[in-house]
Amino acid sequence: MPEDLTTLEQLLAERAGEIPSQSEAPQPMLARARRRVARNAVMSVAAAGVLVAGAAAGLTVLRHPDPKVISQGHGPVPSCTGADLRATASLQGAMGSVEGAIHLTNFSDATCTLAGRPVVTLYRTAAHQLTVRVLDVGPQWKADAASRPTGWPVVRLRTGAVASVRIRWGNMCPQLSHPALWKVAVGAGGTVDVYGADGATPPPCNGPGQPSTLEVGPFEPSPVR
Amino acid sequence: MTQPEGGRLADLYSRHAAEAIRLAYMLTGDRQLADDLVQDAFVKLAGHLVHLRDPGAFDAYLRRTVVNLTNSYFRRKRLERAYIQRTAAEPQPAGDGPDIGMREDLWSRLQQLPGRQRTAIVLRIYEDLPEQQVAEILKCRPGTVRSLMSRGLAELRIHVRSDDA
Repeated sequence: MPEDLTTLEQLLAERAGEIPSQSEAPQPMLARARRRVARNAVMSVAAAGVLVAGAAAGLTVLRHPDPKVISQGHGPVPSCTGADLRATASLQGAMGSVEGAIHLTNFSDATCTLAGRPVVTLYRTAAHQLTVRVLDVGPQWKADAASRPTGWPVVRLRTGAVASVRIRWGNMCPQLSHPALWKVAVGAGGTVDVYGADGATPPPCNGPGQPSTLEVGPFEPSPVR
Repeated sequence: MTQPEGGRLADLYSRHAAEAIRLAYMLTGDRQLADDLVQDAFVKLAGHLVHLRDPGAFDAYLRRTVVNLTNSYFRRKRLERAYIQRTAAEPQPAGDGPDIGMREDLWSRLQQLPGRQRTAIVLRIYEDLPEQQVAEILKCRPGTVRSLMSRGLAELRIHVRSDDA
């Protein structure tokens, strides 16, 4: 039997009445929303980073119309030297140690590469090197279960691009009363002073008589910060 | 998401969720699925709260998102729907009474309509939206909305009097 439109309207109104009017936002949904907003923010920063890197590369090309420099992207790229780089640290205390990363920015006008691990040394004073046992650790991207960066273990640094080295320093006996000086030597030659490490308090003396340990990761492209 | 944004989303949810769940329920016929789709819609919109051109039109954004998510859901579940349509062709168990049975039958037929026909009918009849707005949500011309309505109502065996149209 054919029905009329009123029947359908009544049916829809009845079904609508099954849904309560008041409802509180479920916590799992709010948590998902927070994660989504955070992911969007990270993606926005990454996109901005790509734009800045592209602009920096473009400016480099504009500043150096020399064909030899422009063609460098297609030919062999030299290794970065200490003179090409500036180093900063982002370190913080964690579980009785100091951990974070050293970031190396290519301040030269040309693209260069980093591969392998740096030699990291610590100084109590400019003339007094601290004795630490250096341990090799894997890259941060592996620890984060992220995908392998393009080209790794070689890190190609355009002008303004940043490479990172994972760091964890533990058990400093006797405990230092002031921050240490950090230096990084890169494979192609030259040593770079690390700025910003003076904000990190040296690790406590957790094991008297035990050596201080310094875990150092390989060069890797810097994650978006 | 900052705390004020989280609070804003919770506030928007308490104000708009019920209506959105009703719409999703009309479109899906499944209460639990309607809840899930609306939560998905809120999560999706949470990422764009600061970019909404007209925050006062949140309900319109939400309605459009619910419709789009529902369409996406049904596209993914096309095979399942084919199965449901096959089983729906089998004899239905007797209802509780002539009126309830008739309503259940109408509800069941509504859920078996092609997605765009069902969406056009729900938006026009339940949400009482003008044709132009339904056309914008469905990304089609108003004439197409009229056509979808006409075919959908014919499928439902709804007789439209001239003063209903």
